[in-house]
Amino acid sequence: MNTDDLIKKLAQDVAMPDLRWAPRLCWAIFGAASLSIMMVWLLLGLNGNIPNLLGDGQFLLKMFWFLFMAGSGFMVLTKSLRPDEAPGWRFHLHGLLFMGMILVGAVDFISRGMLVDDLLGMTWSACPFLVVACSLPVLVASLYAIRVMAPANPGLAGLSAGIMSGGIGAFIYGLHCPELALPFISAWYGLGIIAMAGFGYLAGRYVLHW
Amino acid sequence: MKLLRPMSDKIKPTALGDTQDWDVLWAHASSGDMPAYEQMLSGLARIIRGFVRRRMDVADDQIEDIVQDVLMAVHHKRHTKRTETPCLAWVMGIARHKLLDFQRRAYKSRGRQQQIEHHIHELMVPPSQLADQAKQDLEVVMESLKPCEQDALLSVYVHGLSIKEEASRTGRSASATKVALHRSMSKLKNIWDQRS
Repeated sequence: MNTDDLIKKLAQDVAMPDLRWAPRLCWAIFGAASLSIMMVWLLLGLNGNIPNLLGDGQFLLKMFWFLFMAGSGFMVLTKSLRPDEAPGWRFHLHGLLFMGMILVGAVDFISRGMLVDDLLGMTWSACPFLVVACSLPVLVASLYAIRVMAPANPGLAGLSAGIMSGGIGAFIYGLHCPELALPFISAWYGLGIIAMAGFGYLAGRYVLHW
Repeated sequence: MKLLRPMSDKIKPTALGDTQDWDVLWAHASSGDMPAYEQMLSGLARIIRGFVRRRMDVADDQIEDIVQDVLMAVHHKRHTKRTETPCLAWVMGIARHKLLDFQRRAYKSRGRQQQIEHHIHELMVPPSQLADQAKQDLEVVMESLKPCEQDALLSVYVHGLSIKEEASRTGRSASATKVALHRSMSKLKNIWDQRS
């Protein structure tokens, strides 16, 4: 088609579409997170000990780490949705938070005399998979919600969405999981979140391509 | 700025004249002013065309493909422009993205093209060369046979003489010819087994 004809055709459709990404994304996260919580509640059962743990430093550190990962993912994601916008320094938040937790876990592991139980706990083989299972609905829904946008770098936007959903999924799985040892949390939850970041990157390159 | 002025007379004059202030045009367009939108798109098309042409050494119709791709993206993604950012920066972000995408695709398909050509070259050995190779192989193998065995093999199996004819031709007995044939075949079989 001739470019002038194309311009005429496009101009016919001048009305601005009403696509606001923020409500779409928030509803997607809310819906998918509710689904994951229901799954954990019905299939795994919530950890009945949680009310007693609310003053426990390890428990709080664990849950807040997940919330911070989710928050940094969300913040970077919302800054990567437009062709003229890049997250810039914010992107390093992911790495800082992640490496910080790995460091805390490693220091704890060494200072307590490298007990294998601290690292493997009772449930190490299931933990990363269940974190991924709790995160996937959030990743799918949020990628779908931001498809209407035009990220300058679809892969990195997907990676941030993966980190965000990994954090949310880890938090949700943390409502069931009885493990509290910091080395365990750094290693196995960390593995689950890293996997989500990888899935997010790969999926973003296709789903968010425009 | 004079270089960027619209050269074509296809744009109908609007209340905005021939302004190049994209943000003013954008403001009008996003409130539903169709002529302003058209004027903006055709002005931007010219800038995008220049942008693409400076960066890619391809035929004009391909440049036009990219320009149209960018214009469509501008149209379909126009809700991603923030009101506070300049219009041209946003459009150039889209143009850069589409250009990169195009180059990536071109690069990939070029790689595939080269692979295919490579395979075709491998497959396209001329038949005469194949026959020559087979002949050479046969000659090498035949050298390991005794002259009388070579003789018997060629006469009977290649030229199609009967064993009696071959015997009378060489002056040996029929049974000696048979033995020579049998030995030469088993020798060839051994050589063949070793080679493969």
